[in-house]
Amino acid sequence: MSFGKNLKEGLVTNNPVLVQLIGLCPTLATTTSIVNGIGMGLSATAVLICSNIVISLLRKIIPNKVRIAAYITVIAGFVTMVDLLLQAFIPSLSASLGTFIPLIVVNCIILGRAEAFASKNSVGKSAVDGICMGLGFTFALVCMSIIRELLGAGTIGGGAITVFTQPATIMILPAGAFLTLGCIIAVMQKLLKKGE
Amino acid sequence: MLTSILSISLGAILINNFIMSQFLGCCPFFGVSKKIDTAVGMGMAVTFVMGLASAVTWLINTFVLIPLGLGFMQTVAFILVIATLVQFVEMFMMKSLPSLYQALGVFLPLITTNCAVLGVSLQNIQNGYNFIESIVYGITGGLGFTLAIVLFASIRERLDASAECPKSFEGVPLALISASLMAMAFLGFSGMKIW
Amino acid sequence: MAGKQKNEFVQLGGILCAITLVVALALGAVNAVTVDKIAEINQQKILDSLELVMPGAEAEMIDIAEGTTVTTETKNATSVEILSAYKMTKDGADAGYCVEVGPTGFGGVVDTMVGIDVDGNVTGISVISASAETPGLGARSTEADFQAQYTGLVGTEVAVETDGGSIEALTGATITSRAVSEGVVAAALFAAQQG
Repeated sequence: MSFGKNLKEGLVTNNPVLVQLIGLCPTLATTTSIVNGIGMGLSATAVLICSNIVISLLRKIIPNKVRIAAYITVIAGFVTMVDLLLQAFIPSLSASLGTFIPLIVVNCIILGRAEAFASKNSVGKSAVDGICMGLGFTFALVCMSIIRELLGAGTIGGGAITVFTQPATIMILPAGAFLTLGCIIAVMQKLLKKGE
Repeated sequence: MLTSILSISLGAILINNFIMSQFLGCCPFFGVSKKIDTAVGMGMAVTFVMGLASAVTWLINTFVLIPLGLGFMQTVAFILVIATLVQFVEMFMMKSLPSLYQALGVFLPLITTNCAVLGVSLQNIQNGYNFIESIVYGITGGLGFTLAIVLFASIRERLDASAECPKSFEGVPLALISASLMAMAFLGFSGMKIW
Repeated sequence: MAGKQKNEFVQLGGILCAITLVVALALGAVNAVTVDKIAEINQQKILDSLELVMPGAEAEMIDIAEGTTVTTETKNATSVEILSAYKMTKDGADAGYCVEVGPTGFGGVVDTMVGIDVDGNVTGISVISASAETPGLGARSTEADFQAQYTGLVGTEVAVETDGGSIEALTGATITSRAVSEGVVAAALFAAQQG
């Protein structure tokens, strides 16, 4: 499969959040501002690429019976590294994402790709898969966070540009997260049906 | 002591409900909420594991990780403990409590990747709870999860039976919008101030 | 058969242990690189906030027992944790105290530095971290406009408008605003106790 086709699958036709409906917790929780959305998306992408590569390398060594425990350990290791590095070098982002960084461990996308793809494919293919799925996840987060920040806070890019001053605060609250995701998925379903 | 336990419980069940205001445990919330029966089963299994995990991870953090200066290994240690714990609970139930296993067994493997369980373990440490408070937070957090998922399942059962909606909104989008309305209802609790 | 099974267990356990060990070593290495940097950043945050609430003063840390709390005697009477405290001097003269308090807001602790001069007046406050508060609502307590309201008030009499004080609460975030106010009162009480 070519890179372009992979990318299209990750971003649109098989988007982990919008089509496969996995990894919903961080999608809903961290998309209150565009900066947070991008930060979360890229952190998870970094972990996904690294874990896909390592798991693909170890796929012949890891015994089938304990594979889930082994995958989780590898993933948890990378997540902690990202967590520590963010704390040391981008402390403001680390503060606003809070516990959701360690929770990347239980993001179903990462374990899901390890089990469904990296454990069966070569290192190169797994890395490409990690990049594409990670970007798909980031894409969904960015869509969510642009809508929520614009409507809920009236700004774009963390207050850099103020669009209007009487925002609908509900969009930043949990209720707005569910509502936005619902509408985006509805649009996705409509578009995909047209494409068929 | 009693007031702190009461305020933790109320906070975990209503005000800071794991799903409705913290978004922890959303995957099973949408995945296993089509029928009330299964929702109740999932809720019970999660409550049980959350209580148990809170106790075990608190002990490990306090008596192993902190004395050894391995605070940075928290995430790795906790997730391994939770995975092992779930496995043991499954084996124990299969042998000793077959009837309970029949009811809850299918949900157990799913719980390892339920972020509410890891979330509660990390929050216990972050909020500086003691052993008793951690267990209370774990169990009541699970009850809050159960409350939300059962209410949600009962809404979805009725929706599937009778709702008419645009084609694109069928299925998950409609469920998400129902969840949004529920979250608004839970928002009403946020003004509550306890002691 | 039994022997074979045992062998398999040892093999599985061995591989898992090896993986965990490698992960632990790698994490140890990353931790060694980042630990000083993280401590330095946290230290710098405290220094910045001290400079913000009491410009140009020298700080000397006071030893306080971990978990020290002060209960405010306001209408809401809350117990507020004192996170750290500093004896301040300016040009050799006594300038009062800076107290870092951790009142509980909407989602968790609102880490706030409060400067109290020798007469018990607030010289300034700085919300160091409100990351557990709702973005766009309570999290706006870190903005300068909100914090400037506190400067010059008598520390123990600070309250939000709904409670009969002069602090205009952040839109939609009365709980956070009240928490910050309670924190300021607690800081003033703590400073008064120090004499």
